[in-house]
Amino acid sequence: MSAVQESSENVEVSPSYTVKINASIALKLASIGESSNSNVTTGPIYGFDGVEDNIISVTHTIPFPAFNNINTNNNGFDDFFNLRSSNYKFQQDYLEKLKLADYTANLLGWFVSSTGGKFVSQSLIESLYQLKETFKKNKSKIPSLLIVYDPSKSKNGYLSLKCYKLSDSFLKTIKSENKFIAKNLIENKLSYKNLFDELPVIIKSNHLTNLKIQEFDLESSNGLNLNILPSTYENLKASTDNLHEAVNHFNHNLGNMNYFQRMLAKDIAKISKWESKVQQDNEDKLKANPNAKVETPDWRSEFKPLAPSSKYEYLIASSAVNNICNNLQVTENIEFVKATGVKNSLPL
Amino acid sequence: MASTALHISNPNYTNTRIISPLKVSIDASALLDVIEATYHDNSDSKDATRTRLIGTLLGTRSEDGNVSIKTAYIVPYTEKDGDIIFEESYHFSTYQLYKRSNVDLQVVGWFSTQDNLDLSTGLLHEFYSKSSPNYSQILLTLTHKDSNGEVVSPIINTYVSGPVGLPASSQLAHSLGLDKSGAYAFVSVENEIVYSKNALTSIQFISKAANNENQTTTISSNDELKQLEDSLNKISSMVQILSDYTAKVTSGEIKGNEKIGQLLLSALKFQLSENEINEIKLQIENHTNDTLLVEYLSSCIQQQLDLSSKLTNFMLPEDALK
Repeated sequence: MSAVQESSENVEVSPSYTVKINASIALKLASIGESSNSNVTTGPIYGFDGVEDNIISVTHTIPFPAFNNINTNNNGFDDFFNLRSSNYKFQQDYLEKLKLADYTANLLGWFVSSTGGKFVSQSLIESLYQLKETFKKNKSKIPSLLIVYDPSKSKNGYLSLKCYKLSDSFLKTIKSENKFIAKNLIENKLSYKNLFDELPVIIKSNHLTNLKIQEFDLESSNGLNLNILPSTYENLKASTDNLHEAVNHFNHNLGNMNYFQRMLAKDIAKISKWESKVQQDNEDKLKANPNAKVETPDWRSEFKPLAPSSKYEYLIASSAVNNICNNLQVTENIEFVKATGVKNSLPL
Repeated sequence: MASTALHISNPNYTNTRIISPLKVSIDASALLDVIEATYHDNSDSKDATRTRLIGTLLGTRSEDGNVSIKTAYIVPYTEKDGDIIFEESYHFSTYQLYKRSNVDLQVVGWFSTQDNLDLSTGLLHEFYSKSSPNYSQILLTLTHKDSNGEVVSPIINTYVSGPVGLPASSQLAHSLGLDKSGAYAFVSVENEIVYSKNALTSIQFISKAANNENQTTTISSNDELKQLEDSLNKISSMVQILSDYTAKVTSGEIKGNEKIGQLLLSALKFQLSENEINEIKLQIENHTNDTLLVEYLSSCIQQQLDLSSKLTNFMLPEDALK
């Protein structure tokens, strides 16, 4: 217990940061999202903090080398974010280049460009956690960032650009003893809904960009997001595919947990049987000889129950499903608003 | 093409049958890369002599030789008494990184933040031309100051070039002892800034930032529903303006513009038949039902999730046995 307290003190409540994204990054994400079709693209993001209070600036990004399909075997669900050694080296190499060009830049996290709220994966969360730990080692309090961009929304005129960090509850839990057991989850109020905290995002332009952008024809896109579009059906299909995958993954995890619980129930039955037998024996002994020494041995010396399975994977799987559902609802809400708006304002 | 007596073969000269004006299209994101690069002030005291920033342009060439610039990066260099010492290895190794990220990217040219073409421009151009001899390289210059030193909207110029006079490798040039390095003639070519629908959405937000005092715009408070609301407000205010205008015209307050009248007429001229109205009605109805169904199903899944997470909050064996 003391260990738990100690470690949770180590996780100081981080100040709230605002993420400032350079205009060029916003556009680069748009073009990355465009070229990757409905595939998930990821890459490192670089920038700096500390120039302004509680603001982290994102100034550079580059997508990871296109994912080659060699490794898309059964664990395909978790594959879209992969910090394999080649990717790790790639992000270090790029950082080195930025430094050589005299940029003040550090690795801040990663971006995920994906359709329909699919961005949670175990390897992603682990990478974010590792990076956060590295920051801490370097006495930096900033969180590791995850920028999520949805290109399918942009196509219809909505900008969906969000930034997340691992939540404090998550960090507390992962640092506590036994990590993701039910007790810790309850104590730290961690559920699949709050693995991440959203950070406010602002887009930063600059004077010259402002001047240049005035020359663009922006009026033509007015009301683009008011169209009732069949393209939302395409997105819907992609989303349901993702959802299907996520639910499968979730079920797999749930299966493991159910197995554990069945085994646990069996073990508990065995143990209580054994205990009552020991007690019976003791009573018999006492009856035979009131002065006899009786022992009530600990069941732990006799039985070795299965180690409690971690709820970590289960949490992540739930979170993935939940995010996709949330996203579906947001999209459909908008369509609903548009459709009812038309219905009510026309004499139909 | 700019009118000039000088003939320079286009980068699409490899296929001589296609004679079309060379088009250079610049991705908006690449443009912003270059513009943001100009803010990159790496002039420490030791190299305060730098007169410009230079960098590499990456992009693709289509079959007919048109060039599309996709991204750009700065290449560090040092400048001493007008001589430019360019870090070639940086250029090559960074290009390799970008190429790993996107195999289609090629070096299509280079950029400079100085518009006058001097000897170092020629030398740098020679470097870039040598490293990809099959294609003529594009030079892109970006200036943001006019002749009076006033800051103006960035002016983007693009150039192609051809070597002047005797080829440097020729015997004659050699025997005459001509120093042919960096002898290029530059011809300005047209360029066009392109952006996709996707990018346009982001640009809208950037332009919002541009209109704010501190050049930022927050997007986290602008979720999709809020964005929808903004658009609706915009449209309804436009309709309001139009209806105010027509009211004034009909009351005879101002004289109507015929063009606006025609546009209005063509926009509003729909006399739908009963069938068509029913068709629309049906479609809207179906759409509404579809959206509701999806919402219902996804919220069902979420309820299942919630239930499952409550049911699986099992305890440790120790706790269970207490």
